[in-house]
Amino acid sequence: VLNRPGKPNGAQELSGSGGQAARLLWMQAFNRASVLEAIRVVTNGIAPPPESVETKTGQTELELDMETRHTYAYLGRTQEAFGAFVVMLRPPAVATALVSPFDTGGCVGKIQPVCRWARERRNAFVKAFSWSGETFNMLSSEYPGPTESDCARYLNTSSRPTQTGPHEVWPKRFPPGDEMAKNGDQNIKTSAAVNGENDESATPMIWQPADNDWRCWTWEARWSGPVSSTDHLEHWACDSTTAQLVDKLLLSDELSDEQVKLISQRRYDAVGVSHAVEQYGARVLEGLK
Amino acid sequence: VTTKVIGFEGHWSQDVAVAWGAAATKNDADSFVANGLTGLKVPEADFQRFLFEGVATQTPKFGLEDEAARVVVVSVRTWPRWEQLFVQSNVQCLGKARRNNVVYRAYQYPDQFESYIAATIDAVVAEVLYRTDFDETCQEVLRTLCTLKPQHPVVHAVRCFAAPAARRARLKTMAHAALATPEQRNRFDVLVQVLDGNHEYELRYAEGIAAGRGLNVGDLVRVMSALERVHEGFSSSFLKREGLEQLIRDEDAPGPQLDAFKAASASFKFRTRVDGEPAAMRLARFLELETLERAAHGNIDDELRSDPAFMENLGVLLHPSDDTVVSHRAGEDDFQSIAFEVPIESELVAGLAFECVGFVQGVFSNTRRLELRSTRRTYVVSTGEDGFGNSPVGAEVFSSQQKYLFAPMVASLTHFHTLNGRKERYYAQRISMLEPETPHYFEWAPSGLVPGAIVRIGRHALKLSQELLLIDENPVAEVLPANLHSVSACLEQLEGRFAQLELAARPSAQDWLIPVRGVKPSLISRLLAVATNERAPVNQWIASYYNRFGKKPQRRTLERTLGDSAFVQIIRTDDDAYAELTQVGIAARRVVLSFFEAEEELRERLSVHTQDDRP
Repeated sequence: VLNRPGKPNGAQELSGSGGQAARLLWMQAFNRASVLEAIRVVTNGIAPPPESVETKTGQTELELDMETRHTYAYLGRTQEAFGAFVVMLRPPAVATALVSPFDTGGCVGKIQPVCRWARERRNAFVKAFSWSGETFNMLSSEYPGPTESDCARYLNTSSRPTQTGPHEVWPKRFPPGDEMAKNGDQNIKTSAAVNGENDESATPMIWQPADNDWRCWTWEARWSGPVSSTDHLEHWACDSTTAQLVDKLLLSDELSDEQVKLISQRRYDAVGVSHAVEQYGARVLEGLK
Repeated sequence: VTTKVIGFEGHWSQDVAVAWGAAATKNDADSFVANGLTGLKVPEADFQRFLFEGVATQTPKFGLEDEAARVVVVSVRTWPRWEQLFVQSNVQCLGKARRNNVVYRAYQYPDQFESYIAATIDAVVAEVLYRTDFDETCQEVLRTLCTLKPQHPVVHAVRCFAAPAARRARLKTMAHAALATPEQRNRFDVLVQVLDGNHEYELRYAEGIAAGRGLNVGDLVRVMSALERVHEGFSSSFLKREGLEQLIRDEDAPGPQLDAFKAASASFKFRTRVDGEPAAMRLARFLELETLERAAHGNIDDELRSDPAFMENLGVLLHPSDDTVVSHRAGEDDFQSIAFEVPIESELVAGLAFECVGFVQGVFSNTRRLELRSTRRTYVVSTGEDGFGNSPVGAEVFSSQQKYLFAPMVASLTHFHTLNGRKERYYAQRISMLEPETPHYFEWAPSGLVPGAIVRIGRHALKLSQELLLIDENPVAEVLPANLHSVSACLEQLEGRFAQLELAARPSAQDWLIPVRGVKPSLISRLLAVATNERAPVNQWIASYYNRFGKKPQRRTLERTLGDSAFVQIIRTDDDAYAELTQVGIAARRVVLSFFEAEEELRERLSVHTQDDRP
């Protein structure tokens, strides 16, 4: 898809020459209470779950001092366990988002050593490695890197980045704890001392510890509102049983012809989320070659 | 360490006939559950949560030997009539289990899984197309099949065919949206038409065996028995190609049904719909006629191509004699002439190689053939073969048909012939399109080229600068008298390479072109004399040409060429040498359409128009 010449929504629209990873799709897996509700996501736009639903994500956002109710997506992959549906967004969608080279939610409870840090220092870390999506083309040439092989390495979830953490890629963004302390940020030093941490763990080597999985080195994009599916949705997929229900729904009168067209046009083989993710990664790689 | 399947990704309920998803596998050695496709691992506790949330489904544990990527297919036996269709026990799998009436199989991805899908489609389509009543279960099965393989035109077409009329419009919309390429969508439309109604195919003969009106009964019998043999030869190979092997058994394959025969115009019309037959027969008839249509374009399975008896029969059907023009059409399309190439049994040997300048007159992308029109004649060459086992260089541009039609080109061609010389064929080794403002350098002097002249090729005017055509160190143009700059002889090479042009002395009217090896000197100078406005009358020259070589069939070409913008004739001196005399200056910018009736007129034109004298 990304290879089609002259396609208006292609990656070439992003300014500047970037890394090959800037051509990957942004993916989000999600679940909804019913098939019809999930279909609405596809037709009306990708949005966070309604306010009434209390999610773990909302809690995490509070902990990170972020505005709540973001829409999240990962670059080139997602966790099938997040839901039975997956939506894949075209590269230009990222322009209106904030991007980070790790799963920000993971910083609260999972990503070592950041999750053990004091709240202020941890949130400063997240903030330091958050950029506007407009610069993503340039960022992607720094991590994972400018070449195809960097991109292939990124898509292979089992291979870690060559650096120990984002601070090696962008050294100026997040100076070591001592320097920050010198700059007058006393809290950090105190809290680090309180937690009994040594200097080593002050460096955020989040890509190194064996317990940290691929979510620590995955680009995350977060939009503060819904993302239009007519503009940015490339494909969506669901598991086989759900696909049969979707098919029934398509024949019913619940949907207009236009919606039917949008839904079936952008659907991918109904083999489930992980299959679709796998296929799309492979297809983009093939396109790069 | 053995890997065991313990579940699969995706939700599953008992009311669907089949469900599938990435396998959830577990090694006895650790406590992680891995995704069979992505290899991502989660702790077992997380997997339990997925089961609770309905994102994954548990299966009975069963062992797997292979470490390949895998998917699990769950089929249910609650629909007794259709149960076999989704089970597909003949397709190889990595492991299986059964609990109550539910069958679990793990397939290697993608190969085994694709075979499973193909076998299921085959079984379901065959089952549906022999029925006349389509109940809810049948609809359900077809719906499931569409989710199993969303981009399969046949499946969508059969689903439309079996659906109640009220649903068809929406099903068509859905099919069009789901099918990714225009080819798939076209295929779907054709198949829907075929299943619903009738598809016609017409074969028409003209001239040759059909000269005058009607057909000789002997020829008719010969052609029709060839058709029957061809039908036997196909022996449902077309079903294999479509992956619908269960649709019909070999011996049941219906022969072509002749619907109408117009004796006077020698045209045969075949139909697919026969009253009282199930839709499966209709589809089979259509696929066979379509295969015949493909064969007419040269797309024949390798297996059949290597069968001389089949090829001979196909030859009789599609090329009954050299002078017969065979055309065909499917449905309401226009008649298309058939470019069927009669196979040459004995071996071809490479003969003369030469470079020709001309334009692309036809591109047949379906048969990978190209018609190159040079000043002398039309060469039909393959875009896939160069005669030496490779693909011609530069032929790949013809995949987009329209762009290069009527565009000027230079091609290196080789003439191949059988040892007895009865059959011949041309192969192109290199084809270069001539772009405006881009000089083209020739290795050999091409036929029909004169430096300094403006040549009309197709609808393009081409100015050839002198540097483009350097032969030895003396540009040909240099030796030409000023007012006759446009007249020259360009020689194709002799014995595979270009023969040197030698200058003997200061050029004069008679001897400014010196004979080359292998070409009779007298002939060349004589031709030149005609062209350079000497007194020898054109008719006399033509007559002497015929006397000398007795090549009567060439007369037509010669006269047509005379009437054309460029005055060109090939002189055949012996079996492997050609020389071409070209007169180009006449039609610098103008097309002379009329024949030259008398030699005076020709002489006048030859002398009047020079390069700068453009009418």
